[in-house]
Amino acid sequence: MTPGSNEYLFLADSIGKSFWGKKVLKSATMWARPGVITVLFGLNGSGKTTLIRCALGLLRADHGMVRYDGRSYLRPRLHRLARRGVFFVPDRGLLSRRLRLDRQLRVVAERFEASNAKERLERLGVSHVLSRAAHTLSGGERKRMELAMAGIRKPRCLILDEPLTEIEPKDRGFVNGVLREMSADGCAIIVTGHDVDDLMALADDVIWVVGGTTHGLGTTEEAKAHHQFRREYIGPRGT
Amino acid sequence: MWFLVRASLAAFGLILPVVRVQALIVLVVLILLRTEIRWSHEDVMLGNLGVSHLKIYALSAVPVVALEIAAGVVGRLLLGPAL
Repeated sequence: MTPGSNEYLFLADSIGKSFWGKKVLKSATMWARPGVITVLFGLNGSGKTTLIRCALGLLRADHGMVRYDGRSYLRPRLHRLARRGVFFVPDRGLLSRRLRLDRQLRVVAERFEASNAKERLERLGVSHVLSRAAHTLSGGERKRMELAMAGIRKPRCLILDEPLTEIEPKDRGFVNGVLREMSADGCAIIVTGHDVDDLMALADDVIWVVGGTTHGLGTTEEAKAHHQFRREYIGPRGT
Repeated sequence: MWFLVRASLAAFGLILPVVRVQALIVLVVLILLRTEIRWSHEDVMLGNLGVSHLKIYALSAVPVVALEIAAGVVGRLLLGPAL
């Protein structure tokens, strides 16, 4: 499925990528729509992260193009997309180890003239860790701080690679709630991950990355009813 | 670790003040710097702030190259006649 209408704020279309002759992505497509949370499911090594990194220009795709807010990019670059409202939270972490967190937050707030920093930090429950360095935070605190940073940026399109991985199960509903609020404000969100139950509860739209390509499965109900997706990804337990 | 590698190379440049070696060392240092930027956490954060890789690279490379040139000049002044 290759969506082509203008309702897509972000569209990475027909992305292909090989590493040392091994084709990871044959032709993969992902998209984000304003006010919609799109979840990218796929097994480990299926190419979710590669797709995102190609779409943002952090890896050079073999082929494919990106369309963001009416403009096409044959060779996208994160900094160009970011200037127009994209914010990316990678799985390996966003925060610098060299600067204290309050200084990092100040840079983001000043760069985007944000006045909601205090409110965002309190909402995410990380206002007490500002004087610390990023590497002293727990995994959950780090993820929540990254989400706070994204909230301060107020992006038009937020892309998160495995944001729930280090979040404790009891806090996942809360993080989902924060993403829901951002989506309700019109932000187009793409999320990847393996936590099927939590992500299914979050998703409005499901994309399945498999065999080097992607399948748009539609809503969560439609995804759950997709026989092959159930058999090959969710497994017999179901959701 | 990266800094130590670069500092070691600079020290090597200081004791071996031959222009071609100096130039080679500058090249290696720049490649190391580029690798460091590509693999650091900061590249995504700076990208999110709208700062290009090229700009990060240029800003990081200027002091490194200046240091290498200074090391080369000092090395040549101190040890040049002996070579």
